Amino acid sequence: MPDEACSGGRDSAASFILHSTFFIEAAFPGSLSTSRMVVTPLLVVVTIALGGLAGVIGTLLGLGGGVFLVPFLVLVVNMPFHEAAAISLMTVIATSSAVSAARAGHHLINVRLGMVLEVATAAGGLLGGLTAQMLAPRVLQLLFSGVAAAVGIVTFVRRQQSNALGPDAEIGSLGGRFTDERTGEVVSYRVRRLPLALVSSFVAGNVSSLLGVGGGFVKVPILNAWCGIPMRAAAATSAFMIGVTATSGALIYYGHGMVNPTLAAAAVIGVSAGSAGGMRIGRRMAPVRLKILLGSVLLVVAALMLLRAR
Amino acid sequence: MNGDAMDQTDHTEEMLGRVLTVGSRTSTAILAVGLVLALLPPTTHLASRLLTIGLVALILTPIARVAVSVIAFARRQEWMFVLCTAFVLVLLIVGIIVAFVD
Repeated sequence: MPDEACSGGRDSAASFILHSTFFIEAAFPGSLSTSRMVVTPLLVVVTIALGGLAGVIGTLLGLGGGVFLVPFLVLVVNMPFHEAAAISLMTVIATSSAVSAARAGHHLINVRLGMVLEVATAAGGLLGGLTAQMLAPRVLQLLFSGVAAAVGIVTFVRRQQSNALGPDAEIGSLGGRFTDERTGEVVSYRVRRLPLALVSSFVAGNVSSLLGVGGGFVKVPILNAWCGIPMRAAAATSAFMIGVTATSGALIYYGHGMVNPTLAAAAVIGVSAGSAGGMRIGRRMAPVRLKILLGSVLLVVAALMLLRAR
Repeated sequence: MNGDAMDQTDHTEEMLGRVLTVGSRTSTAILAVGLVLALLPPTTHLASRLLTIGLVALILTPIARVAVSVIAFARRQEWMFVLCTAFVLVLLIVGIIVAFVD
């Protein structure tokens, strides 16, 4: 039984995080061991390239790119899932820091909203082990495939919806106001349905370490389609948050020596280069096109997860 | 164009931006040098040490960002946000302890 390792009467807060090391072991038996990939120059080059691709797409959409990098590494270089997840979390942190550093001061990142949502994300991460105890990895992946597909379809359907209010609109305590670099207009927005935003952030944190992702693929579409946040601001705020989200998981993997340093460095460098490119393209891209890209990406992710769950 | 609240946020944002810039540039630069050294024929101790330092710096960057946020919100006496960021910081610190002491 996969969840035998999770038994025991620990009840301190720390034990939930401890559980998460067990649930990784439970989900991927024998995985809590040090990295076994043999590093060759070719593998390093391929890893940099895959990182670059994930960096471009991820940055455009406010995702860390982990959601692509993990399947890329697993499918293209045949990397064990947990090693791919460990490397991916490192790149999520790198993208988040680099992209947010470049965007700081432009009002695109909603720092206050990000901080509030991070509480839900952190709580989700804390309870990640518990979730995995209750749901078999296969069920979790199926559930995810379903959620990603549903959110992807909603993103398509609502692609024309604009959350932008006039320049002087009342924005409330969590709303924001920024200048759209593409049109030069000042865009204001209010946050609606905060509880839903909190739930999506909780889920993002909950699956982060298990799937090796920052969780942006859950948050961005929900923040945009239902919570009143314009696509660009949703992407920037998510990108700002995912570094913290991924850190909890990264600590677990790193502490157990599961991060292959050479390949992680290669992926981080690839992703950093890719995200610099992604930022350049993103500034000029119309929100509708970003949403179509996001919707397509979600459907691909749904298909990949469905395949893995079978 | 922006109200007072936005200007204050701007300041915090710039401060956090500085932390993230230093953290991400330093770690990426160290990782790049480490990676080049690791790929050159004589496997040196220096290469693996640089890779370790780079990865640790990478992980510490978001943690530093949260710590600075706590201070920034405390200075502006926005206690609700201090509470939020402090909660996240505590969980991250618990994460470090569990990951490395376990």
